[in-house]
Amino acid sequence: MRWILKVFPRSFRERMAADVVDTMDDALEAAPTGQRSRLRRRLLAQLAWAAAVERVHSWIPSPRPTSHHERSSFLEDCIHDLRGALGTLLRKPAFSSTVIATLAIGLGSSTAMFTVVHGVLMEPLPYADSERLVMLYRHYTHRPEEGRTMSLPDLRDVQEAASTLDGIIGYYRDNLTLLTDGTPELASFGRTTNGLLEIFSVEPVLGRDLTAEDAASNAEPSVVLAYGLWQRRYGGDPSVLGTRLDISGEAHTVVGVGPQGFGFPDGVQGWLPSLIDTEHCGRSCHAVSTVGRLAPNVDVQAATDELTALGIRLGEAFPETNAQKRFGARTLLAEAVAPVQSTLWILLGAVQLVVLIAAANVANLVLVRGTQRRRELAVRSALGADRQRLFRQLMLENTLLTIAGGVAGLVVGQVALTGLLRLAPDDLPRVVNVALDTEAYAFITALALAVLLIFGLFPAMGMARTEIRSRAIAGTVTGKQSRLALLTVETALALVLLLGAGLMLRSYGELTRIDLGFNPEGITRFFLELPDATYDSDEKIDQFTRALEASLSSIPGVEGSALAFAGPLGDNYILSVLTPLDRPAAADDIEYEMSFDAVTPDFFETLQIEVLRGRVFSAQDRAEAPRTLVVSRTLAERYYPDKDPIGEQVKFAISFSEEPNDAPYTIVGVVEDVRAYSLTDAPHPAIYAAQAQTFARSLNVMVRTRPGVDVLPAVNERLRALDPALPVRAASTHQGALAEAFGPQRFYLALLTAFASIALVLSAIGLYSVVSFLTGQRTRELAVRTALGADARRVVRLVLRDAIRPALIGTACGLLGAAFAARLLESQLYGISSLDALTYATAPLILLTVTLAATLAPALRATRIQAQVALREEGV
Amino acid sequence: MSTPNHAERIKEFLPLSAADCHVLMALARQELYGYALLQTLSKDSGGAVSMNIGSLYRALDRLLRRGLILQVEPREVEKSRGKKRRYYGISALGRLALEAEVSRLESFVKLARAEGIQP
Repeated sequence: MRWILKVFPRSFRERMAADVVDTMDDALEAAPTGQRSRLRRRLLAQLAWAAAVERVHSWIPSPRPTSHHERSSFLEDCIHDLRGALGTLLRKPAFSSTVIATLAIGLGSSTAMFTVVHGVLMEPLPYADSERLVMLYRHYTHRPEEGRTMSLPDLRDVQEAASTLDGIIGYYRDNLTLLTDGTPELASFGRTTNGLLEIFSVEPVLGRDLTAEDAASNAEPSVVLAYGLWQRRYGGDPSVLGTRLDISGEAHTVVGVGPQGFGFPDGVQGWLPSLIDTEHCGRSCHAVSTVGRLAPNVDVQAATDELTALGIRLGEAFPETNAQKRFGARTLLAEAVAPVQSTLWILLGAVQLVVLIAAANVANLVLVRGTQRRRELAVRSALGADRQRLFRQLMLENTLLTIAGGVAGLVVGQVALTGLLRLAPDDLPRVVNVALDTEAYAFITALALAVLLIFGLFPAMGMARTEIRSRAIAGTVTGKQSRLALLTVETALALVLLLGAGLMLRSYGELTRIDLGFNPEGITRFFLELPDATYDSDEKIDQFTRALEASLSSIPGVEGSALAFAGPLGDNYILSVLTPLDRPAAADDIEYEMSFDAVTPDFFETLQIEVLRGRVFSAQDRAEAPRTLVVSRTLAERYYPDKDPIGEQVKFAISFSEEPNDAPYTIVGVVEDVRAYSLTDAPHPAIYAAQAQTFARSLNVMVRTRPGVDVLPAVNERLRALDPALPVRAASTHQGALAEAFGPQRFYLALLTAFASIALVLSAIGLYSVVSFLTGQRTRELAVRTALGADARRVVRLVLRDAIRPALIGTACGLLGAAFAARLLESQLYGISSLDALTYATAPLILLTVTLAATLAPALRATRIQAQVALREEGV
Repeated sequence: MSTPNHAERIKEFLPLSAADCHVLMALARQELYGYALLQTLSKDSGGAVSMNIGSLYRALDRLLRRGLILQVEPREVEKSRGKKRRYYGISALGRLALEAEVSRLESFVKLARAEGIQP
């Protein structure tokens, strides 16, 4: 037990320790044996608190002992007041710790959210002059769709004409097989139309950048290695220039090495010249993404204006493809954060409501305490403390509380941030930038100052003013109105958050009930790429796919297997324009845009996609047979609203085959829509061609197994047996992919729910403390009423009236506020309106229930007031 | 009566905190050791001053340093088996400070009454 004395400052210990121990022994000896351990704990806690107070006092310089009249210098007054304020707060640990905890929760959660917003949305991209990096997008004058890819002829015209751009290149990502030391490896490369390094103002550490000449059809295949690959594969050997590297079976000459730490697009192993066929891929073939650099002193809007003018000119020159097509520029940063931007701002806004509630709560606590201190302050003002001095003292107390709350808030913020990042979906961009940094400290400081203004300044001004008036000594209940007004505001804000969280919850419920159009359960999938060099003919591709299918279906535990170029929730994605042959060609290319997939016959059965009309593919749909096509329900309804699509003929531009074939496709079946790329967007019109007639090299393999069966080892073994040189990308399950797809929604839901819960708890605490206090103030009145015969029910009603009125008004205001605020949420909601009746009915009920629960305890306590005791206490 | 020197010093201590007042008042009656003082205080103040072992010793330390109370030689506690305890007593300065505080409160109460403020 003596260890507790070590916490006291040494001087105190030397003077008092022995005696403290004696007194403790005495107290324990006097207590009944059964209660000793409890008493010991209590004594230890009391000593610990006293030790902490002594410690804090020992850190503050004591004012020079001077006579009362000399003690007037400002600094000494301040030190004196600081000691006083600290003492006051330490004497009321329950009050102080409640205020500090409330502030810490509000400030901490807000800072965590700010840190995410700052790191993701505001930190510049890690490139030189990154604010000048832009990408182009295309849009259409008559429809909302927007594309991020450009056709090569359009891009070339922009390159020649745009004076607002210093440079602009096209690129796309290509997954290729890299043969390193005889081991195949799937690697991602950037294919570019021109030099990409130059756009980013970086220099190769070795050799040169790629140029437009490297992308010419007769050029030698060349490659610029990313720094990481150079180190890993060649140990950083400078003689690598001029050597040859086997990429997908073709020898590429190494012409350069990129700088350390540079990778664009993310995670590429190097850069290769673009292979887009400039002959056949016209203005409707939007094949490349773009990245460019704005000319000095030009902003994005100026570039967009110039591009719009250029788009109009191209529309006039090429009306059949470009009549409605326009272009614009957007910074790379804006593009990177676009998917999450609005959500993050909404969440940052939502967390500010938590801060406001925390501030209102603290203001209430300070007001309540102010009333309790009226007598103390009145005495001090009567003894000559001027108003300024009282104000300073009160403000000092509030400032100390805010500083403590802010420091505790940083701890809460760090914890909240860790939790937040754990919850964050994998595709939240730029998460690496998220950390508590100088900006976060500046933010929490500014926020704390604002909060201090709300809860500290106004009550302190009011209190310092009223205390001067001697009438206040009577300790009457004043400021009741402002307290109830604060409660109203708190209730309204809490309801807004509660409704937001409720809407997200309902929306999430709807999302998880979405009919995907296929059954993801029990599907394992992996990705493989057949290298051009080995699989140099349609026959070889066809042979491999058939052999693999047969081999997979013979694995024990496998219920079905299929191969598809894209497959649901896969990485491959191609949009193409469909040309129905039963009508004249359309001028509008986006009108007939649809997603494309090449699949094996068992695809529909394996994924359990419902066949609505006609048939799906069979073993007869071979290369030499007439070309057949299966279309989705949406495509059938949109393009053939008045007739049966079966038997209709169409053409489209996609072909993986090396052999030119212009024969049309005949629609043989209609299948149910599949949400293949996005869970929430309406299903895109889709067409499925037979793999045996399209020969895709890039394939998703899907295997359906009985639950709990792990087929991966067997699958890998079969693959090795078929082609030991084939690289396979890590397998995943469809359900894993689904969970990933639900990630962002889960993240928003979890955050909003957390904010709403905090808000609910804070407002419950606020209500409880204010109603308890008001009831305490009315003890005499309630006692008189009880003495005059009021029964318990009447007393409860009287007390509840104080709480219910602000709660009801707050609920009404909150409903109105939420109806406006929920519009911001609209884009995040799926399947319900932002005015969802169920949510709007439930949330106020929850809030009012919590209100009742928080006020019932003080109300019931009021019924137990005994008239005589109460009146005696009040000195009547 | 206070010497002029004492009178100046006493002003430094005023106003006394409620805890200090009660400790001084208890010790003005008789010398007490720690545990006895703790019991007397909780009895005397009728709960108006919440004193626990921590706050008591902080008050004792403060009053000792200011010279308002004194430590008396340890002596045996009555009715105990030979245990010695350290006793505390009020100093002359402490008594003066207590009296000054009482008169300060008195004049304040008078002032308040004159303003028509009743408890």
